[in-house]
Amino acid sequence: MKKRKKAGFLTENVIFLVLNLIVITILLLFIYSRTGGIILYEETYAKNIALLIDSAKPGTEFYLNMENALEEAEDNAWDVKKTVKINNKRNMVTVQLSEDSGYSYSFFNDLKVVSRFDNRKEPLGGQKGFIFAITNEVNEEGLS
Amino acid sequence: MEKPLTFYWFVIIFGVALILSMTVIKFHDHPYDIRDVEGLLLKNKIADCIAPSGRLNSKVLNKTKTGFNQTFFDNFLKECNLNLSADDRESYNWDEEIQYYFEVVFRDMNEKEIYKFEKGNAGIKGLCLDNEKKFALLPGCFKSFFYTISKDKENRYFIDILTSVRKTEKNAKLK
Repeated sequence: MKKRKKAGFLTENVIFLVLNLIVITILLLFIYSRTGGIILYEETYAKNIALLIDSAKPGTEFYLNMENALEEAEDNAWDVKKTVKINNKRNMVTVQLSEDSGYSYSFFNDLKVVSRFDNRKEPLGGQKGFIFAITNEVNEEGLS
Repeated sequence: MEKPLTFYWFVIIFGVALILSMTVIKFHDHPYDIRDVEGLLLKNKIADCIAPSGRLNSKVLNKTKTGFNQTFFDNFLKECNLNLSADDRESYNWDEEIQYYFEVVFRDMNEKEIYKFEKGNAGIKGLCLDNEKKFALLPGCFKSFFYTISKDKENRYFIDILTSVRKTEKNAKLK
Protein backbone atom coordinates (compact mmCIF):
# COMPACT_ATOMS: atom_id res chain seq x y z
CA MET A 1 0.00 0.00 0.00
CA LYS A 2 2.81 2.38 0.92
CA LYS A 3 4.74 1.38 -2.20
CA ARG A 4 1.71 2.18 -4.37
CA LYS A 5 1.37 5.56 -2.70
CA LYS A 6 5.06 6.32 -3.27
CA ALA A 7 4.88 5.23 -6.91
CA GLY A 8 1.78 7.36 -7.43
CA PHE A 9 3.44 10.34 -5.80
CA LEU A 10 6.51 10.00 -8.01
CA THR A 11 4.46 9.59 -11.19
CA GLU A 12 2.36 12.63 -10.44
CA ASN A 13 5.40 14.80 -9.84
CA VAL A 14 7.18 13.57 -12.97
CA ILE A 15 4.12 14.32 -15.06
CA PHE A 16 3.85 17.73 -13.40
CA LEU A 17 7.48 18.57 -14.19
CA VAL A 18 7.23 17.29 -17.76
CA LEU A 19 4.13 19.41 -18.43
CA ASN A 20 5.87 22.47 -17.00
CA LEU A 21 8.88 21.87 -19.22
CA ILE A 22 6.67 21.45 -22.27
CA VAL A 23 4.88 24.74 -21.61
CA ILE A 24 8.13 26.62 -20.99
CA THR A 25 9.76 25.08 -24.08
CA ILE A 26 6.83 26.06 -26.30
CA LEU A 27 6.94 29.57 -24.90
CA LEU A 28 10.67 29.94 -25.47
CA LEU A 29 10.43 28.57 -29.02
CA PHE A 30 7.64 31.01 -29.80
CA ILE A 31 9.58 33.97 -28.42
CA TYR A 32 12.71 32.90 -30.31
CA SER A 33 10.76 32.58 -33.57
CA ARG A 34 9.30 36.08 -33.22
CA THR A 35 12.50 37.81 -32.18
CA GLY A 36 14.68 36.25 -34.84
CA GLY A 37 13.79 35.21 -38.34
CA ILE A 38 14.40 36.27 -41.88
CA ILE A 39 11.79 39.02 -42.13
CA LEU A 40 13.10 40.83 -39.10
CA TYR A 41 16.73 40.60 -40.22
CA GLU A 42 15.93 41.81 -43.73
CA GLU A 43 14.06 44.87 -42.52
CA THR A 44 16.61 45.69 -39.82
CA TYR A 45 19.65 45.44 -42.05
CA ALA A 46 18.07 47.19 -45.04
CA LYS A 47 17.13 50.19 -42.91
CA ASN A 48 20.45 50.13 -41.09
CA ILE A 49 22.39 50.16 -44.37
CA ALA A 50 20.20 52.93 -45.81
CA LEU A 51 20.85 55.11 -42.76
CA LEU A 52 24.58 54.45 -42.91
CA ILE A 53 24.66 55.41 -46.59
CA ASP A 54 22.67 58.58 -45.91
CA SER A 55 25.05 59.62 -43.15
CA ALA A 56 28.22 58.90 -45.12
CA LYS A 57 30.34 61.47 -46.92
CA PRO A 58 32.16 60.88 -50.22
CA GLY A 59 35.10 58.55 -49.83
CA THR A 60 33.70 56.80 -46.77
CA GLU A 61 34.07 53.06 -46.50
CA PHE A 62 32.45 51.04 -43.74
CA TYR A 63 32.10 47.41 -42.74
CA LEU A 64 28.83 46.01 -41.41
CA ASN A 65 28.82 42.79 -39.43
CA MET A 66 25.94 40.67 -40.74
CA GLU A 67 26.91 37.30 -39.34
CA ASN A 68 23.50 36.30 -37.96
CA ALA A 69 21.69 37.34 -41.13
CA LEU A 70 24.20 35.57 -43.38
CA GLU A 71 23.81 32.40 -41.34
CA GLU A 72 20.08 32.57 -42.00
CA ALA A 73 20.81 32.96 -45.71
CA GLU A 74 23.09 29.93 -45.67
CA ASP A 75 20.42 27.91 -43.84
CA ASN A 76 18.03 28.82 -46.66
CA ALA A 77 20.56 27.79 -49.34
CA TRP A 78 20.85 31.39 -50.53
CA ASP A 79 24.14 32.69 -51.90
CA VAL A 80 25.54 35.08 -49.28
CA LYS A 81 27.07 37.28 -51.99
CA LYS A 82 23.56 38.02 -53.26
CA THR A 83 22.31 38.99 -49.81
CA VAL A 84 22.80 42.73 -50.20
CA LYS A 85 22.14 44.59 -53.44
CA ILE A 86 22.54 48.29 -54.03
CA ASN A 87 20.56 49.78 -56.89
CA ASN A 88 22.27 53.10 -57.57
CA LYS A 89 19.82 54.09 -60.30
CA ARG A 90 16.89 53.93 -57.92
CA ASN A 91 18.87 54.71 -54.75
CA MET A 92 17.67 51.57 -53.06
CA VAL A 93 19.20 48.87 -50.90
CA THR A 94 17.73 45.36 -50.89
CA VAL A 95 18.49 42.68 -48.32
CA GLN A 96 17.44 39.19 -49.35
CA LEU A 97 18.05 36.13 -47.22
CA SER A 98 16.06 33.56 -49.18
CA GLU A 99 14.62 33.07 -52.64
CA ASP A 100 11.10 34.10 -51.66
CA SER A 101 11.83 37.06 -49.45
CA GLY A 102 13.51 40.43 -49.54
CA TYR A 103 13.18 43.93 -48.14
CA SER A 104 14.07 47.16 -49.87
CA TYR A 105 14.56 50.64 -48.51
CA SER A 106 15.55 53.80 -50.31
CA PHE A 107 18.19 56.36 -49.36
CA PHE A 108 18.59 60.02 -50.38
CA ASN A 109 22.39 60.13 -50.74
CA ASP A 110 22.88 60.43 -54.49
CA LEU A 111 26.49 59.27 -54.56
CA LYS A 112 27.31 55.90 -56.09
CA VAL A 113 27.58 53.13 -53.49
CA VAL A 114 29.57 49.96 -54.03
CA SER A 115 29.13 46.92 -51.82
CA ARG A 116 30.96 43.63 -51.59
CA PHE A 117 30.82 40.58 -49.39
CA ASP A 118 33.76 40.37 -47.06
CA ASN A 119 35.05 36.89 -47.82
CA ARG A 120 38.59 37.08 -46.57
CA LYS A 121 39.78 34.28 -44.32
CA GLU A 122 40.10 36.74 -41.47
CA PRO A 123 37.48 39.40 -42.04
CA LEU A 124 37.40 42.59 -40.06
CA GLY A 125 36.20 41.83 -36.59
CA GLY A 126 36.56 38.12 -37.25
CA GLN A 127 32.97 37.78 -38.52
CA LYS A 128 31.20 37.78 -41.87
CA GLY A 129 29.80 40.96 -43.29
CA PHE A 130 29.66 43.45 -46.11
CA ILE A 131 31.87 46.37 -46.97
CA PHE A 132 30.25 49.49 -48.39
CA ALA A 133 32.14 52.24 -50.18
CA ILE A 134 30.64 55.67 -50.90
CA THR A 135 32.34 56.94 -54.04
CA ASN A 136 32.70 60.49 -55.29
CA GLU A 137 30.60 59.71 -58.36
CA VAL A 138 27.03 60.89 -58.61
CA ASN A 139 24.41 58.39 -59.71
CA GLU A 140 23.36 58.61 -63.35
CA GLU A 141 19.60 58.82 -62.86
CA GLY A 142 17.40 60.28 -60.20
CA LEU A 143 18.70 63.82 -60.20
CA SER A 144 15.73 66.00 -59.48
CA MET B 1 -5.40 19.12 -1.55
CA GLU B 2 -2.48 18.93 -3.98
CA LYS B 3 -4.61 18.29 -7.08
CA PRO B 4 -6.61 21.55 -6.89
CA LEU B 5 -3.33 23.44 -6.32
CA THR B 6 -1.78 21.77 -9.37
CA PHE B 7 -4.75 22.86 -11.47
CA TYR B 8 -4.38 26.50 -10.33
CA TRP B 9 -0.65 26.30 -10.93
CA PHE B 10 -1.25 25.43 -14.56
CA VAL B 11 -3.88 28.15 -14.90
CA ILE B 12 -1.30 30.67 -13.66
CA ILE B 13 1.50 29.40 -15.87
CA PHE B 14 -0.71 29.42 -18.96
CA GLY B 15 -1.84 32.94 -18.07
CA VAL B 16 1.77 34.13 -17.79
CA ALA B 17 2.65 32.43 -21.07
CA LEU B 18 -0.31 34.08 -22.78
CA ILE B 19 0.62 37.55 -21.52
CA LEU B 20 4.25 37.08 -22.56
CA SER B 21 3.21 35.93 -26.02
CA MET B 22 0.86 38.87 -26.51
CA THR B 23 3.58 41.29 -25.39
CA VAL B 24 6.08 39.83 -27.86
CA ILE B 25 3.54 39.88 -30.70
CA LYS B 26 2.58 43.48 -29.94
CA PHE B 27 6.20 44.61 -29.88
CA HIS B 28 7.35 42.84 -33.03
CA ASP B 29 4.21 43.48 -35.05
CA HIS B 30 5.30 46.99 -35.92
CA PRO B 31 8.00 47.85 -38.43
CA TYR B 32 10.98 49.80 -37.18
CA ASP B 33 10.30 53.51 -37.53
CA ILE B 34 13.45 55.29 -38.65
CA ARG B 35 11.86 58.42 -40.11
CA ASP B 36 13.09 60.66 -37.31
CA VAL B 37 16.67 59.49 -37.91
CA GLU B 38 16.25 59.99 -41.65
CA GLY B 39 14.94 63.50 -41.04
CA LEU B 40 17.92 64.24 -38.83
CA LEU B 41 20.40 62.91 -41.39
CA LEU B 42 18.74 64.90 -44.16
CA LYS B 43 18.97 68.03 -42.02
CA ASN B 44 22.66 67.38 -41.39
CA LYS B 45 23.36 66.88 -45.09
CA ILE B 46 21.56 70.11 -46.00
CA ALA B 47 23.35 72.02 -43.26
CA ASP B 48 26.74 70.62 -44.34
CA CYS B 49 26.03 71.73 -47.89
CA ILE B 50 24.91 75.26 -46.99
CA ALA B 51 27.55 75.79 -44.34
CA PRO B 52 30.40 73.26 -44.56
CA SER B 53 32.44 73.32 -41.36
CA GLY B 54 30.11 76.03 -40.07
CA ARG B 55 31.09 78.67 -42.68
CA LEU B 56 28.63 79.78 -45.33
CA ASN B 57 29.16 78.03 -48.65
CA SER B 58 30.58 80.55 -51.14
CA LYS B 59 28.06 79.36 -53.74
CA VAL B 60 25.09 80.49 -51.61
CA LEU B 61 25.59 84.18 -52.38
CA ASN B 62 25.77 85.74 -55.83
CA LYS B 63 29.03 87.10 -57.23
CA THR B 64 28.51 90.57 -55.79
CA LYS B 65 27.47 89.06 -52.44
CA THR B 66 24.50 91.38 -52.29
CA GLY B 67 21.94 88.62 -52.61
CA PHE B 68 21.44 84.90 -52.92
CA ASN B 69 22.58 82.78 -55.85
CA GLN B 70 19.33 81.54 -57.38
CA THR B 71 21.16 79.09 -59.65
CA PHE B 72 22.65 77.34 -56.64
CA PHE B 73 19.24 76.88 -55.04
CA ASP B 74 17.61 75.80 -58.29
CA ASN B 75 20.23 73.05 -58.58
CA PHE B 76 20.42 72.48 -54.84
CA LEU B 77 19.78 68.75 -54.98
CA LYS B 78 22.51 68.22 -57.56
CA GLU B 79 24.93 70.51 -55.73
CA CYS B 80 24.41 68.63 -52.46
CA ASN B 81 24.18 65.10 -53.92
CA LEU B 82 20.60 64.57 -52.81
CA ASN B 83 17.93 62.45 -54.44
CA LEU B 84 14.41 62.77 -53.03
CA SER B 85 12.91 60.11 -55.29
CA ALA B 86 12.27 57.21 -52.88
CA ASP B 87 11.28 54.86 -55.66
CA ASP B 88 9.54 51.84 -54.20
CA ARG B 89 7.12 51.52 -57.07
CA GLU B 90 6.55 47.75 -56.63
CA SER B 91 4.74 48.15 -53.33
CA TYR B 92 3.55 51.72 -53.26
CA ASN B 93 3.15 54.65 -55.61
CA TRP B 94 6.19 56.38 -54.24
CA ASP B 95 7.46 57.10 -57.75
CA GLU B 96 4.44 59.40 -58.11
CA GLU B 97 4.47 60.86 -54.62
CA ILE B 98 7.78 62.16 -53.28
CA GLN B 99 8.38 61.00 -49.72
CA TYR B 100 10.68 63.80 -48.58
CA TYR B 101 10.35 67.52 -48.01
CA PHE B 102 12.64 70.18 -46.68
CA GLU B 103 12.51 73.92 -46.24
CA VAL B 104 15.41 76.27 -45.58
CA VAL B 105 14.87 79.80 -44.29
CA PHE B 106 17.60 82.43 -44.06
CA ARG B 107 17.12 85.14 -41.43
CA ASP B 108 19.14 88.24 -40.74
CA MET B 109 20.46 89.23 -37.32
CA ASN B 110 17.04 90.70 -36.47
CA GLU B 111 15.54 87.28 -37.24
CA LYS B 112 13.68 88.70 -40.19
CA GLU B 113 13.17 86.26 -43.03
CA ILE B 114 15.18 87.30 -46.07
CA TYR B 115 15.27 84.16 -48.20
CA LYS B 116 13.43 80.86 -48.28
CA PHE B 117 13.46 77.84 -50.51
CA GLU B 118 11.93 74.37 -50.37
CA LYS B 119 12.20 71.06 -52.20
CA GLY B 120 10.17 67.88 -52.29
CA ASN B 121 6.53 67.18 -51.49
CA ALA B 122 5.08 70.30 -49.84
CA GLY B 123 2.01 68.31 -48.79
CA ILE B 124 4.09 66.56 -46.13
CA LYS B 125 4.88 69.83 -44.38
CA GLY B 126 1.29 70.34 -43.37
CA LEU B 127 1.23 66.91 -41.73
CA CYS B 128 4.01 67.95 -39.39
CA LEU B 129 1.60 70.34 -37.74
CA ASP B 130 -1.41 68.04 -37.80
CA ASN B 131 -2.19 67.19 -34.18
CA GLU B 132 -5.28 65.21 -35.03
CA LYS B 133 -3.62 62.42 -36.93
CA LYS B 134 -2.43 59.37 -35.09
CA PHE B 135 1.26 59.73 -34.29
CA ALA B 136 2.40 56.79 -36.38
CA LEU B 137 0.74 58.25 -39.44
CA LEU B 138 2.63 61.50 -39.10
CA PRO B 139 5.82 61.91 -41.09
CA GLY B 140 9.14 62.16 -39.30
CA CYS B 141 9.63 65.92 -38.93
CA PHE B 142 12.80 67.52 -37.73
CA LYS B 143 13.39 71.21 -37.20
CA SER B 144 16.59 72.95 -36.25
CA PHE B 145 18.33 76.26 -36.63
CA PHE B 146 21.91 77.42 -36.54
CA TYR B 147 24.03 80.48 -37.09
CA THR B 148 26.53 80.83 -39.90
CA ILE B 149 28.92 83.44 -41.18
CA SER B 150 30.67 83.86 -44.51
CA LYS B 151 34.42 83.46 -44.83
CA ASP B 152 34.96 87.20 -45.13
CA LYS B 153 32.72 87.67 -42.07
CA GLU B 154 30.55 90.21 -43.85
CA ASN B 155 27.43 88.08 -44.18
CA ARG B 156 25.77 86.55 -41.15
CA TYR B 157 22.60 84.53 -41.06
CA PHE B 158 20.38 82.44 -38.88
CA ILE B 159 19.29 79.39 -40.84
CA ASP B 160 16.16 77.37 -40.08
CA ILE B 161 15.88 73.92 -41.58
CA LEU B 162 12.72 71.84 -41.54
CA THR B 163 12.95 68.29 -42.90
CA SER B 164 10.14 65.82 -43.24
CA VAL B 165 10.16 62.14 -44.20
CA ARG B 166 6.89 60.41 -44.97
CA LYS B 167 7.48 56.71 -45.94
CA THR B 168 4.57 55.80 -43.66
CA GLU B 169 3.89 52.39 -45.23
CA LYS B 170 7.36 51.14 -44.36
CA ASN B 171 7.68 52.66 -40.91
CA ALA B 172 4.28 52.42 -39.28
CA LYS B 173 1.62 49.79 -38.98
CA LEU B 174 -1.43 50.92 -40.90
CA LYS B 175 -4.85 49.54 -40.01
